[in-house]
Amino acid sequence: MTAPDPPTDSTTQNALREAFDALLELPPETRADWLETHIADASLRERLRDLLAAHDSHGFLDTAAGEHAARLAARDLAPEGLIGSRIGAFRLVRALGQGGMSAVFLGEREDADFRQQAAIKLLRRGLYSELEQRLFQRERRVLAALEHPHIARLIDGGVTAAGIPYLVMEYVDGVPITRYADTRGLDVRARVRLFVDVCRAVAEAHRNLIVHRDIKPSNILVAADGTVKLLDFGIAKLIEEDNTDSTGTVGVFTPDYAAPEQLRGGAITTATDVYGLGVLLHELLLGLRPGGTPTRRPSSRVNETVSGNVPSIERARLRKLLRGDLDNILLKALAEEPQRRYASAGALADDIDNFLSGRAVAAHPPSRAYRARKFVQRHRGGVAVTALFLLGILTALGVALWQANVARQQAQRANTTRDFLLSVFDAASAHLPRNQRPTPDALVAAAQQRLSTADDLDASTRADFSRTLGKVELSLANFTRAQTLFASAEKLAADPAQARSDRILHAQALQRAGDNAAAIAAINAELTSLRAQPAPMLVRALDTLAAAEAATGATDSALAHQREAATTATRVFGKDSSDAIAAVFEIGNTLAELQRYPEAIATLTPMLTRWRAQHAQQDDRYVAALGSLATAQDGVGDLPAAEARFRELLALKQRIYTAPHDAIAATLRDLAQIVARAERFPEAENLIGQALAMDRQVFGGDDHLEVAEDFDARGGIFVAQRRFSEADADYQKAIDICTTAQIKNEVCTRARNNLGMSLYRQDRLDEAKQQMTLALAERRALFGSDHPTVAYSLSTLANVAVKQHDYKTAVDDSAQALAVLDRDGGSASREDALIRFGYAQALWMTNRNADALHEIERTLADWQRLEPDAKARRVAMLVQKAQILNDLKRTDEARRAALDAIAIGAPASELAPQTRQLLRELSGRSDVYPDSPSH
Amino acid sequence: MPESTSRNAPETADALFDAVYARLKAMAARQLGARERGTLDTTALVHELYLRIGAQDELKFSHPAQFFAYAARAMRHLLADRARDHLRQCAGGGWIAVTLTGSDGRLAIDDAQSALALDAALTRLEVADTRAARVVELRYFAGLPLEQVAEQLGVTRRTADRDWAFARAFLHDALT
Repeated sequence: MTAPDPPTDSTTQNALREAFDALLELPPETRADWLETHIADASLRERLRDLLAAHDSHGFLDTAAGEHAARLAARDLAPEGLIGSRIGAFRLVRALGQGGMSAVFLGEREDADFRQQAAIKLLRRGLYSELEQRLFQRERRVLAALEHPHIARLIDGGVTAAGIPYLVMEYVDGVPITRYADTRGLDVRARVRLFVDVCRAVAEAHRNLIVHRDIKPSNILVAADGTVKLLDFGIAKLIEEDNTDSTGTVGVFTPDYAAPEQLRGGAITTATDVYGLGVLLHELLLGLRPGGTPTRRPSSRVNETVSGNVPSIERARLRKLLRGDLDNILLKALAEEPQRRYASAGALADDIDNFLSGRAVAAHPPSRAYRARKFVQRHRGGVAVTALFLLGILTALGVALWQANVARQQAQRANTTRDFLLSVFDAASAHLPRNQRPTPDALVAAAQQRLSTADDLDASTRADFSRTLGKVELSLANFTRAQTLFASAEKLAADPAQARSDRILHAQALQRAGDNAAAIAAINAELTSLRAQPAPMLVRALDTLAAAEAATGATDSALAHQREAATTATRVFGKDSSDAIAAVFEIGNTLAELQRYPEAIATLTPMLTRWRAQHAQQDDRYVAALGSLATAQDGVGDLPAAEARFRELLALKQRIYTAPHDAIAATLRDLAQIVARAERFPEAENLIGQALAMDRQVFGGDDHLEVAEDFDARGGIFVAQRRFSEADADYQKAIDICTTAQIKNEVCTRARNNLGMSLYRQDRLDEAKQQMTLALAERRALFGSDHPTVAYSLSTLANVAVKQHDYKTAVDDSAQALAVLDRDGGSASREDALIRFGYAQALWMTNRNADALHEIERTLADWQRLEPDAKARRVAMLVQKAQILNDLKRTDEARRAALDAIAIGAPASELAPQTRQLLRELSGRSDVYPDSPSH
Repeated sequence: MPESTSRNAPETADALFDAVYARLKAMAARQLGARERGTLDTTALVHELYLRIGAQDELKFSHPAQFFAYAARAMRHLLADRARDHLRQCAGGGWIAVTLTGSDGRLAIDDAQSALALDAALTRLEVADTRAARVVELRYFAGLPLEQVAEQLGVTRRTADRDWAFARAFLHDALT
């Protein structure tokens, strides 16, 4: 460093500083003069000149310290340091290569019975924001959907605990395509055939609206058996999307293979890849890269080829082979203007095929301008339609999508139009201030209006729009209009597969509208064809079918179809994709709805964890699954877990919805019930009060299902406090709402059965039995005889029978209830244990002591597991066990059971006087639980 | 710095600094190494460190200014340490030299040399203009906006601006 020694003398320093400060106050152009006239000391003047120059220059301090530190830390991530570490299920074995943005490793996964190799790609930049995480997830999903024999498959992906995003790809043990061709000494036709495989792979990506942007030999490997594999799909695009800083789009590309628009920073389209493919073909055939758009025929450059690159081909012969068709193909692929190139890799491949089979190639100078003109004409309509209702929203969308929208190929445009529209509706709700958002209804109306008068649109575009608008109507719950739109899309559909998709969508609209039978019939007609080629539409079809089946009570079949949907989603979208996880959510939701709680918990818990681990958006699918889990945890008596879930849900919903909203009210209600179970009654009453007020506000009065739910729930909170008259009034109110609003729902039968239970507790047994019998009949009619609620009705009737000393009825009802639960898979819940307790009591009352002992022991075991803190009930169960043992003349065991019960230490105030007395008698200890506790 | 030392409230400023630095260094290394990002928001880093330290209850600062001063010095030392390590490893050859053949590697070497030169120049500035040096620490190494720098140092915004302009010129001049 050649910095002059700084002034050490403080007077000099002060003078320097004063002068410098004064200089900076002056306009820059007058500073030099000021120096000459005001500073006499020549060395000080010199020093000030240096400082001014430094002031005006850009230097080290203009880059953040953290950035310098990070740059210096880059070596920490040098490949060698990561060898041996684990990424996902894989252990990194050795580095395969590294670029500016990523490092690729060979990974190995060793399980008990197989060993799998994979290429693991670690992105160098961490993904920070939620948006970036989402983009990454989306990109991965797209890649997961790319299944092609010539594209290296995506196996897995995610973000490590340290925050490094990674992709697990099929490992290709091969060499770059150019080296392969050279070492094997392939002739021109063999090289061209290899090249067609590459084009087909790229074309597959283009169909999925992915532009590779980095086509070069090192990304195209050929295995020993001659199989071409294209690598690194979509990463370039992903990386560029990450790079949305103010400097604009910084292209990530390899200069030697980059298209002119990449170098210029222009729009990237599928034609960009066509250019890259052109460079590759040029290199494959001539052994050198074109170095820009050719100004003359490529075949004329044969003499420049580096000797040895094309060893098997004599130059004169090569020139002759290339001249003509291959020249034209190369010139068209390498054209300066993107629109003069082949529209897509597929078109390029087709033309190469023409060449190989001796047909006339499309690349032909005179037709070029004509075709370009035709193209623009053909696409003007599509662009105008989208522009019509995108005004004002466009800026909120990624530029990439817009560019993709101007992509030329028919199929691409269809995809793009759809994606674009769907994004519009997302954007409309997300990006604009509330008062500026167009309502979805307005957007759809404008689009439909345009569609009905758009005679300039071709059939496939009209089909696209009908389909898209149908989806929007579906999401707006306008099922009839959705059906009409899907039907017209199907009529206009370009091919049978598309028409089939439209029929599935139509079936979904039918299902949502409640016409389950028609939906089932429609989907069953398509299933065989859909299964032949698993695709996203198969997942949709299976989910719709399952929903229709569940609604009609065919639960086994519904679950089977949901499982198939989950398997398919995993295959189609990838194991960790949100769609695959959401498909499993559906299974869990159904299980929870069927009150098969332990299975629901086992299904949902790991999936919700995975969802969060993937940083997937907490959308309605997540909310529904979380709600199911909470219900299930409540169902098996895991109170603290359930309360935590419901609080999480409430926070989520308050973020998603604007109060008042029935979705928020529903969670408030659930939470109130959990809190009441924990005996925090004032808090519970407050919560249910909020829920009731909100629902009344939302529905404008009382006559609604949700309001009935609130009254039923509040009744339960009153009962728990033994405020029976208030409870009965609430239950009656719920029943009345059902009658007035003609609601047929579980809540109506539940309110009636709860009314019966309240009467039972008041010892109004005949009235109780009357209400419960009515509820049982209603439940059987509503859900069939094997429903868990039927079991509960039976168990409450058994309770009444016990109190009425009708033990035979009690035993029959309990046994029937338990049988229903066993059949339904819902055993081992809290309710199950209580029913079993009643059953044991009833058996004992009918002197079936051995059976009673068996049941009470199982009850005790279940209760200990499910409700370890519910001491009073456990005491009651142990007393019951002691009584049974006593009757079996096993008095020692009876005493021990009684002593166990005393050891629990339940407060006397929670035990019934009769229980306390029995404890004293059976234990032989007259000193415990005295009848009149001294105060 | 052994863990037991940092649990006791350090007596002297230097001891406190050593304790903080050891901890910050570990954190920053984790942060920078793990996330591997081209740009790193220093303010965010320092704030995060502050939150973590605050939560850990091991090292207490009487006021935020004290913390930022230490964090800034920690960052400064971190950068210098990294630069030294970097140059040492380059000289040592081996595989790192191979990976440094690209433009990124060249940049890193320049960076390392500049970082060390900056550290030396900043030491000189401390002698010549102590307050200006403190402004550099807070502004550059702790990543505080000048408004906050002024607040922390108890000077006007205008003074902080002037200090920064002078210090920047002084240091850039020393680096050329």
